[in-house]
Amino acid sequence: MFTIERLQRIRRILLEKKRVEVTELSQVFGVSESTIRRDLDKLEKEGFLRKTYGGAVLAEDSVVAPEDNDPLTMERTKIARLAADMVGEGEAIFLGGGPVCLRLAACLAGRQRLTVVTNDLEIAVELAEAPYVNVKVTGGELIPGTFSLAGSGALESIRGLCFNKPFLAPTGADLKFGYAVPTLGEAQLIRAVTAVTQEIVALLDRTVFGRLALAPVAGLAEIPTVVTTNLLPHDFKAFYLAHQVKVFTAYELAQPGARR
Amino acid sequence: MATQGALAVGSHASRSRFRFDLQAYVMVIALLVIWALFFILTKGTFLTPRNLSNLARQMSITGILAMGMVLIIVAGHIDLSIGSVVGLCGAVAAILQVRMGWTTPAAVLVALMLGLAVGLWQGFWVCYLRVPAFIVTLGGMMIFRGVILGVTEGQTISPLEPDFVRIGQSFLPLHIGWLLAGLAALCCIYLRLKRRWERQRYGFEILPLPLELAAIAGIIFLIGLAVLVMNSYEGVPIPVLLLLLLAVVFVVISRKTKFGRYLYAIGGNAEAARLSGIDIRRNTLLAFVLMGLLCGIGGVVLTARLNGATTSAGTSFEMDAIASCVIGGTSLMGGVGSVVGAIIGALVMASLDNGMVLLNTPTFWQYIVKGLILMVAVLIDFQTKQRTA
Amino acid sequence: MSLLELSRIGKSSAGRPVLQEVDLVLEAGQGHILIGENGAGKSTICRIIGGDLCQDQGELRLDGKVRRFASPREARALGIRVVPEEQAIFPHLSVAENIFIGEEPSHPWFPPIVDRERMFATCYRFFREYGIRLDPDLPMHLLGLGEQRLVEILRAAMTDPRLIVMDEVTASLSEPERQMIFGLLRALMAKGVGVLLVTHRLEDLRHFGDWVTVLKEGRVAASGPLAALSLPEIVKLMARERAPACYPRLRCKPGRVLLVVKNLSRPPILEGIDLVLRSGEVLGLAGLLGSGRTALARAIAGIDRISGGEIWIDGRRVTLKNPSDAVRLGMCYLTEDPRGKGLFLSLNVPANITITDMDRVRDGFFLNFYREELLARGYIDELGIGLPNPHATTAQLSGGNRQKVVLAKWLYRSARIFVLDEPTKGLDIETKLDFYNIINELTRCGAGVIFISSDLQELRGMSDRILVMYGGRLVGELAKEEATEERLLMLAMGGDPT
Repeated sequence: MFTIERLQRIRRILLEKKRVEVTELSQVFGVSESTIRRDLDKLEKEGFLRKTYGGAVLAEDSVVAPEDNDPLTMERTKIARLAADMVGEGEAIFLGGGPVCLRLAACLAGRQRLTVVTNDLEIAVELAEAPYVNVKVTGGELIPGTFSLAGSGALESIRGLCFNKPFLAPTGADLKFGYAVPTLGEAQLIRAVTAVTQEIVALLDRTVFGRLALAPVAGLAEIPTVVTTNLLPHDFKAFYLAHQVKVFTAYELAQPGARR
Repeated sequence: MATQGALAVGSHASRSRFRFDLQAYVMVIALLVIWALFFILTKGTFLTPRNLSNLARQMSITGILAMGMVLIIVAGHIDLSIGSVVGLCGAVAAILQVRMGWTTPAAVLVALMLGLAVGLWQGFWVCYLRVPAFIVTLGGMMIFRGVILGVTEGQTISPLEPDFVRIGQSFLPLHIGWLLAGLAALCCIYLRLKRRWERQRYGFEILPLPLELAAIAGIIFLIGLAVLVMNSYEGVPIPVLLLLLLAVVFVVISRKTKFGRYLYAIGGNAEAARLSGIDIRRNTLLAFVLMGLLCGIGGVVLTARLNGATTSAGTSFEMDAIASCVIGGTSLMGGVGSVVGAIIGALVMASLDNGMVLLNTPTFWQYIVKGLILMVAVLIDFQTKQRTA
Repeated sequence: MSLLELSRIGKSSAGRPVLQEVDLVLEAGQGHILIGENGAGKSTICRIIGGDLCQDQGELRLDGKVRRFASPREARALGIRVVPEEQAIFPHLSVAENIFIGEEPSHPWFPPIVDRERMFATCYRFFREYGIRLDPDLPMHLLGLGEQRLVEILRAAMTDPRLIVMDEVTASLSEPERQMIFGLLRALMAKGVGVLLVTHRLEDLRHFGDWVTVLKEGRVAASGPLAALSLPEIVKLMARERAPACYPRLRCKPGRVLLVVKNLSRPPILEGIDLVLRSGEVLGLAGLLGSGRTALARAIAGIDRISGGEIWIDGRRVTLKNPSDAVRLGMCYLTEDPRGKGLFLSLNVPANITITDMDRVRDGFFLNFYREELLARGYIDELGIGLPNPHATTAQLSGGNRQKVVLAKWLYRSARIFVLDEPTKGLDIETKLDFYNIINELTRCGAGVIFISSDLQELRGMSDRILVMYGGRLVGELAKEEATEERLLMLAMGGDPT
């Protein structure tokens, strides 16, 4: 196959899939990885793509929708992707409400033998078409203005259940008052969930730190694992380190600086 | 910290390349001070077109050599042999023409090739045989001086053909001077606009248009002024033109090419350069080859200017070149330095020479003053670096 | 009355306690072994005894008299000799001159002149007495490493010592050299000199010493006659039981094989090394100083030539003649960076990052600074590299940020095999955390990491598998779950883990 032809096909694949990997392409075309790298170099100089760690993505200005380029959205996606890797096959997890958990649900849609319990209707909808994910929605009443369920019905429906990992996205985290959510009902539910498991994971984006919310859920040191990004404020980082909290910070090494 | 770092993305990248190279500007200011001083002391003679033309011709060879020396020093080496190599290349060109009747282009070409070969030879010793450059070029200094004595049999070789002499002594016709100035101005406009467009394309902040235009106007004014001054005497001297053309080439090489970047890397941290996969030997060798080529050019210009080759031609040029580099902010430790700085350094040295001659300063004082200026330049350099580091 | 007595010594550095309530008694003529993990505080004790540091709390008694040394000079005047961990010799001076450096006998007629005859005569006499086969006239650089260390010990031994402190002197020596040194020490002890030997090797305990003090996290875990403690007991005392909790290692499924090393040798420091690295894996490499772990890392990264064995990358056998070959194959080597060893300090950050692959920032012959800065900016933001100003050279960065720049340049190059040799040494804990998470992310992107660290907690926390080196060989492989500190220590110190 001529180089020109291969370049053309790489372009087509990229337009379709938005990102490619060097190893994958070298298998597809049966040429060495360094040949593929050179091809990608050429296309990068044309401005068609942007090389990433181990592959390439379509140059953003040509396709990416504006909301995908929003730093907060990108940050949440990063967190969700890392959190998704924490979920093993055959596990039962709880997903609390909130945009980060919603993204996590999207990342988990392709998994097999997974049980997701959630009190968020949006998450349930997100996973509705996932063929191998077993979704269980709690009962209870809708919290006004959200898609989240809470109340005695919700508490009732998780009684007796046990989770491998609950993923929570509190809306506030304060050094003194700990994690908190906006409504008492939600807080109650979360406390009930955390009471029955050890491996709780808090997903924290930049909006959370230093913000107070009405109903406290747990102290900062009580949730043993947090997933966040390098926007984690210094004082929080110091606190977590001092209290033996496992801090995962998600990076986007494959596509750094994609924000532009 | 992290928060700010990531949120301030846009503003960071923006201020980019409007930053001034402080070092170079300190030197420019020093230069202007020296000029002002001489202007007052010589009651105006120093800044007459005639003297400025002289000054420019005086600095041209040192300037040409200093450009190559910067590359060598930045790569962490030194070249002590260039005086002898300049003399040798000039002598060979003169012999080919005077004794063997070669035409000027042929003789010049051979001189340049000889410079190149010498560079290759010394570079090979330094890079592949790993003999320290100080030793290799100290040896070279003696060897090539010896060769000069051998080939010239101790005699001065002259006179040369008029077209050879023209390389060193003639001036551009006035209208061609203006024509070139116009071309340079156009190039400058094109480059500024292209840069502006590129910055815009990559999302960097750009100067407001009026400022941009003012900057362009300023540069054109300087070009015009320079040509005007030169033309008020006899025109732009050919060696000066040569210097300017080479300066453009070497600024580009040092700043805008992979090779230039590698030299800074190698001189800055050879071990890290090796770990980064840089071929240290090949790049260093290339620096020596370029130095050799410049020596060839310098030799031709020198011979042409003197209308003949003497056995002592080029003696101590290496010291002038090294001093120019150092005054221009080049660190002898390697990794730091700029071509523009070296040229300004050469201009400082030439100005001191010229001014003191105008003032009839005794020769011994000239040496003392130049030596002191060199030391003070390094002292200032060192102090400013300590403050920023 | 004891020769040396430390009681309730405490010392803090940068707000953290290094030593707490350390008691140590050393009798004249005693061979006292001080053993403990990296960072347990052994070197600090040596430096306090040698007068290089001063304790914050507690007392130091020499011959029963309380002393407080303001400088090493004072300690020296009282007969304390410290042989430091780092070599301190003058390679172009002779053995005798090295021994008498700073204390040259002066000529009886004209003091400014050194009495060389007396110097050499003293050497000959001493060498004969203790059966040392060394020519005092030989320049140091002609001697082997072991002999050079021996000279350093002689420097301490020949100047009327009362107490000799040796900080991991035996680490890089061969067996006969070690025996030679122990022999000398025993002879000195017979004359009433006290010896404090800091060591990492269990083997040393079999051949030398009659008293042992075990140090753990700045405290004395045990102290007693060597005969009363078995080696496994000592190791058990050294090990910290607590499992490391806060290392954020997220294991991913190991992918294809990236690197295979078969029977790699580079005598005498590396012999018969076999290892396999898969993508998505962090392979820990444990070993004491001088165990060959850095030599192995450098051999894999193509920095040092190997003399035997094979290296396979991506299923192909490769010959690495220099680092460029390794870089081309997607490998990179990163080491601890106290003074910016991996950086070009006079260049700015983007230039440092793009240097590994300049073709990406080149349009034809010319570099495109804008593209360069844009590409680099992505890494600067993503890794959170803090710059004092946008055009800062790397000389102006802090240690942690420098190390991130080195990582960034390899990410930019899309390296697949990261050989990290003590990458976090000297960094503050918060930067370390960033580093761990970046390692995590690397493996999630399919890279393979070989991770070397002296900090066993860190090694256990971050590795999926740990190989242990001892004396230039691999002596064990432990899965994350079975890699207890005790087992690692036992293997790394040359003991038998079973």
